[in-house]
Amino acid sequence: MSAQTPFAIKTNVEMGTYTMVNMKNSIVKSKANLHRTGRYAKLFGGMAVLAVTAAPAMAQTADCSFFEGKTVELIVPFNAGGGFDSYSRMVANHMGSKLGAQNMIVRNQPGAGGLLATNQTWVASAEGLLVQMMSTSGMLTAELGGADGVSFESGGFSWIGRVSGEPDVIAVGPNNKITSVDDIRAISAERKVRIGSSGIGDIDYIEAELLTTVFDLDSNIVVGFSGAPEVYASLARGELDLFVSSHSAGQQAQSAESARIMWLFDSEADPDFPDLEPIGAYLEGDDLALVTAHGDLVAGGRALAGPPGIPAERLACLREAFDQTMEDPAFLAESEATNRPVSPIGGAELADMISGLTENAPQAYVDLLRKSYQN
Amino acid sequence: MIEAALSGLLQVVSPYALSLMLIGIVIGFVVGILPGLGGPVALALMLPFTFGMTPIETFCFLLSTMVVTTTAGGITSILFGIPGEATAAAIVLDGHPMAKQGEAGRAIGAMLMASLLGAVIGAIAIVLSIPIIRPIVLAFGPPEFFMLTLVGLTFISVLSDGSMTKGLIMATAGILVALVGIDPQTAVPRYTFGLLELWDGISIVAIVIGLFGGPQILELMLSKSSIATGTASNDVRGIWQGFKDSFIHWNVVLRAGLIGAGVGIVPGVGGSVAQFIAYGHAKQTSREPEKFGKGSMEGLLAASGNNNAKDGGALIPMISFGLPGSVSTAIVLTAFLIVGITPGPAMLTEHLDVTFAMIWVTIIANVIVLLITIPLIKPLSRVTLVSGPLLAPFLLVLVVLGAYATHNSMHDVWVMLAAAAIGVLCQRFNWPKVPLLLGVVLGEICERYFFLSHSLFGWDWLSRPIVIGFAVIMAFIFFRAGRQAWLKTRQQGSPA
Repeated sequence: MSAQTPFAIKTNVEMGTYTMVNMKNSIVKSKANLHRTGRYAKLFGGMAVLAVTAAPAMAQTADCSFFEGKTVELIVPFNAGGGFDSYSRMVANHMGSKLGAQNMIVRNQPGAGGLLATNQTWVASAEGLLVQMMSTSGMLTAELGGADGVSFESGGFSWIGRVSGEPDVIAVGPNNKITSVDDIRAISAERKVRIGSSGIGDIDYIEAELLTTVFDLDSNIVVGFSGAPEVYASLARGELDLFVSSHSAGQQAQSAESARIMWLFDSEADPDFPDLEPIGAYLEGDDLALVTAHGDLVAGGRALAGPPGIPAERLACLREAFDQTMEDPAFLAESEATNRPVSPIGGAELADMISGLTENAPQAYVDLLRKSYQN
Repeated sequence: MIEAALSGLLQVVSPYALSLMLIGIVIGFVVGILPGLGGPVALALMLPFTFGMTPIETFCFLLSTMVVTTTAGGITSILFGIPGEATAAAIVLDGHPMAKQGEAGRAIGAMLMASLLGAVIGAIAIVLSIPIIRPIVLAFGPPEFFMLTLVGLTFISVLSDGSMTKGLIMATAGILVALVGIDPQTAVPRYTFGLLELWDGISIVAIVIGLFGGPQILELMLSKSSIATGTASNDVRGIWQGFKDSFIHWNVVLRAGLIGAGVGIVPGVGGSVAQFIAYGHAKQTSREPEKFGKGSMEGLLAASGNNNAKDGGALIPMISFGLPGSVSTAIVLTAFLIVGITPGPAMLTEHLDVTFAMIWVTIIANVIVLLITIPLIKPLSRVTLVSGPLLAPFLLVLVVLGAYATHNSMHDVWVMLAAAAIGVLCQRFNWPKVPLLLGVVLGEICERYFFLSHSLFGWDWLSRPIVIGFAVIMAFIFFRAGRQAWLKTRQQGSPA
């Protein structure tokens, strides 16, 4: 029997993970993020730089009169009130006018952990008046893992740009004795290491499987929590040993004294979080490759995309409006004042990155995703 | 602590914060009155407007809407028999019969005062728990949550309207409905028939509106008369009588408030269940249980008194751990992050004034809504005199909109219509609706916490002290229900 849960099953999972770190200088850091998230993009480095520098010139020639007086719809695949929703509303608020559109409205279309909306956007009209805020890591793991209900190919969407992205971290309970990877291995020698997760197929489940594999642990992945806040409460009660979540959710829990963040779930250190040691430091060979592949995938973050086949000129307009929005002082001021940091990546580079991930993901990683979805 | 309480109060009553609260109250009142259109939707849409506000201003704006939607939802429940909010379903049971008897004003008065008193009880619960807030939240894990949902289910024995067998059948049907969706343990889609729309399960809001609203609308259309027959009594005098009623039955309101605050703490269980536990408890301990469902003041007060107390309860895990206890508090949590405050121990030290401000908002907003409603009672209760065939299409549009707005999906409208059909059949053949609703609401939580308890502790969780405490409460409820049933049969048997 197949067992698939693409994306986060429950919308409150999403609600629990959007918490944003206080990155006042996030904008300055976007360059560093670009560097970090662009391992695949590095393959296309020269191309990407060309694309970025060429973009304004191209945009100036692009005729965006199509959008004048029209309404652009921004689909949010989760309920109103969560992180995806608030980021989307912030973007829509500023991007519509840059596009020359009459307005840009947000429509929430929750269901099946984001899959419902993403499937519908995949077959929506490609005239350029409908775009979606994508949960890229969720859609990529679902696609690569062969999850039920996926009827899209991530690489095929018309990518407009990444709004924000952050790494995942490994946290332990506030009173837990774990201070090193050896401590985890020591627990594993005595009893099962308990790792929390919202549900099979969720990103935190895949990360729990990854930890089990790369550190060769005897683990019990406890699933069924309603979302990151509930797992962190369980961690605080001492019921669990480990949990992997977004950095911001971990940071939130650490401030609430529900957890201690121990490591970055990535192969390399992150210039944004210099104090955090990557677990890659303890790994080599195939294990390191697994964590690298996953880190790249998580870096996709929250990104805007339209249905496949948006005419090139209109896509250029959308990308230009997106880039302008990301540089707009009013947008950046709102982002900073409301603790919703952005770390933009342009559409062309993002598209290359996504295609690179789906086409070049290591087989061992794909196998692990398939195992996670078909437990 | 007193200093922080005063500082919080002063910041809440500053002109700007107070005006934001008034806006929040008006939004909450309108949204609350419209069936189905719920607090979470309103709060989500209000979030972007908090840009530039201070933390206390933000909470004045959002929390006032949150508590007022809950309170105002009761007005629709009383007047039309359709819950204005999912958390106001139990108010229908006795509030609407009162409106039919021409006592809409008195029922609304009692509901408003009980809600205010409930808010005060919830607020006191938070204040008292501040020193021990974190140990309390930590003492409750999945096993305790599971047992609490079981306690909720045992109230089916009280809420079955006479026939326990019918009640159990309906509850089982409700649990089967709750099974629809992705299995929380194995992630296998259950009863989804290949429809992605069913992966997240069946919308509880759509079920509540349909189950209660369907029969009411049909009845209005068929009866060709207004909701209240004859002339409504003097409604303004009625509201004062309602206020007095809530003080006369202060012990019912107090217990309902405590139950609300207690259940509100449990994440995911929240208001949809607290109201029925409070109602069931009031019925079981009442000297006149036979009046319940036919316009009992005690029933109305129990259903109203827990409503705002549970909002207070839900703030406890959110303030102390950032753990939202309901959909609405999850959105308020987003606001925390937007204004740059982190829930946790700092809320009990550095930001204690903000915590107190939140508590004050829950009370002051209820006082204001009470004052606003007094002049509105007369026109509102006149609606019960409007001819049914005129009113029914209007209500039908509202319930369809309400169901659609839950997830912006027609799917929920079909669910609502199906629930409406079930509601009509229940009414026609005299089957209880409440156990079905309890089954749907509790089924999912019950399953999730049961498996979590087992995954974490094996069977050792059965020996945890709070778990045993809940088991004793359940045994007591069963014993009492059994004894009452036995006494009833004996009474019925003795004259013969």
